[in-house]
Amino acid sequence: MLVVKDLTGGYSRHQPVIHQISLEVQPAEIVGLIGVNGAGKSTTIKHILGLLTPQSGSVTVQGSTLQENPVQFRSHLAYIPEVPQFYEELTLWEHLELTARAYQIPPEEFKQRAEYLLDVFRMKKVAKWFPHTFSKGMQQKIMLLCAFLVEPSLLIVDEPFVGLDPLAIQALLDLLLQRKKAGTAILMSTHILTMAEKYCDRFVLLHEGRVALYGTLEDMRKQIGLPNASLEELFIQVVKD
Amino acid sequence: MKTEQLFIQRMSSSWRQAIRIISLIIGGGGTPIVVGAMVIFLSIAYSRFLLWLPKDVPISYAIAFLLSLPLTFSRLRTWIQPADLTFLLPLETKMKNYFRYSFIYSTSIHLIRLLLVGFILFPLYQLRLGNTTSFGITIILLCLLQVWNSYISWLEDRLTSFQSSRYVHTLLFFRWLINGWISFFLLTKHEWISLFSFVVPILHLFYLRSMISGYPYPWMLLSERERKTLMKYYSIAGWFVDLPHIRFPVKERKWLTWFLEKLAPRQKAFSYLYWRTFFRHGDLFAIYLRILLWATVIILFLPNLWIILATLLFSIWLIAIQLPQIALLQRYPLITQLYPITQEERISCFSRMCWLLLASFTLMMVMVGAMTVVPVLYLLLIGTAGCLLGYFLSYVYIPKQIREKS
Repeated sequence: MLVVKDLTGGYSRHQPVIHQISLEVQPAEIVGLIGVNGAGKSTTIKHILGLLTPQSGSVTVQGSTLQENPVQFRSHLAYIPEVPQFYEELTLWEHLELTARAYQIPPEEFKQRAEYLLDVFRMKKVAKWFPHTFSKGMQQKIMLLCAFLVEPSLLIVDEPFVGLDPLAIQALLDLLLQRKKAGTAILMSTHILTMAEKYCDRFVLLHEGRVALYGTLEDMRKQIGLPNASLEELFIQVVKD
Repeated sequence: MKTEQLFIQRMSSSWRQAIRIISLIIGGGGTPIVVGAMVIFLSIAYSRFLLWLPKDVPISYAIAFLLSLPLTFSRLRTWIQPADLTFLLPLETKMKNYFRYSFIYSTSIHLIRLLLVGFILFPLYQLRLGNTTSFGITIILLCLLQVWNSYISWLEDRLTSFQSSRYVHTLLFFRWLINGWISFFLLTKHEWISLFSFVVPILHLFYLRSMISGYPYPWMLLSERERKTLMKYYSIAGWFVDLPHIRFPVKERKWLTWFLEKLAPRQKAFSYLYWRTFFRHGDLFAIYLRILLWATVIILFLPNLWIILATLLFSIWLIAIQLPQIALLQRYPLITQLYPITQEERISCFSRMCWLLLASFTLMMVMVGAMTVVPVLYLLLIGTAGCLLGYFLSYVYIPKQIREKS
């Protein structure tokens, strides 16, 4: 589904932030992207989304790159950003309606999916409200609703749990598993390592812009030579070196 | 801490910023010429209105009503900010001087505003009601009434801490009646009734003063009002210069979106976004309506072929230069850039919206023109010119601007 090959890039040509990053996310798989602040997680995600141009390397989704076919490339993926970003001029329902139109979801299907998601995240009552009146957690839910509405083949999630209440976190995890079962490839960046260990199938541990460890928990234990280490212990081991 | 110094500091810095924006506007090309032309057009239209005005129109009522509005709406400008609720609250007992300075400043501005309104209304007064001396005396007495209004307005604000908004609105309505009453009798030279009527405001002042003793300052109200005042000024400045860092308030305008839904239920994603942004973002729709109103006034009072043509083309240009800000991707969240939609489709959605807005503006102006003595054939030619300009702006000029800025 998603193949990132030897990706080097950043915000300036003279100072790349990430170096030779390679990773893959297969359908029906959750891959955890982990690392300390400034390790290059968000930069990697921005390159995958096509918001930054790589200095070298490539990003392909379903076999095509952004340059080859931007509309097809984008129609496969949905993104949940770390910081909620919304349209000041649209209500929650209109956010969903706009997303549906952008991804050409048929009206009947849209209504069915939207009502289900509003129900799951307990947002039905505020569907006609403007997001600037929402709490930060509720604003984050708009991002979740829009992304899940699309039912994409590839879902990229950046720190999804920040600001969410426990019920919303559970709803999000359930939905992630549901999407995974339906065949969606999920790349999830998170700092909550216990959650990542429990829900992710494989991991990419970034350190100083490079892939430090890669694979299943078992693979990473072998790579570092700590056979019984938890994800947190592996993480600390890599970072302190 | 001397709180009056804080007030002076805030007032000066606000004026410095205002002067900076005004300099930008003056230095930004044709604005002074445009404003000058508008003033000339409006003054010609006003003099024509005075000539047309039938003799049986009750001018005194109209002037009294027009004067009562600035007199009644005399809120204090305090520059109270949201952070003051944390940092200035411990200084509440020392804030008396701050608000005293705010009262002096605001009353001075209210008096200037009253004199300006008086200056505009003077030709109307002179037409039927009296001469310069009697108008001068009326204005001096109204200035006294203005000082009273500014003070009572402050007391009404303080009442909001413990009284219901309905009660405060009733007081405001009562004050408006007093203003209308006194203005009317001053204008119609019933000096004794007017002077005797001044007793009512004095009694009202003592009544309110006795009520507010011990009331806290309405911090939240003042802070919110300051925010709205700033937005109002920025939205006026936004007519002439770009202020991309300012976040204008959203206006829901439910009926318009309902109408939109009925008219075009299957809009493309970006048409959906742009139309809603046009109707709800800050003042864009209000600007469209204001330009429509001004152009209507000019066409009705100066029904000349060339003036109608110039007004129409100029208005279309004024609307068109406001519109590209809706289409700039930078003003939307990041997710907008991830939609599987080409840039060409985005621009085409935007061009269509611009074209519909400008073409309907042209149509409305031709309809207004049809109410005047200008022959229909000429109006059709003017309409064609408007449509051509609208089409050029929508499909050539604006897309080019958007591509350059993106």
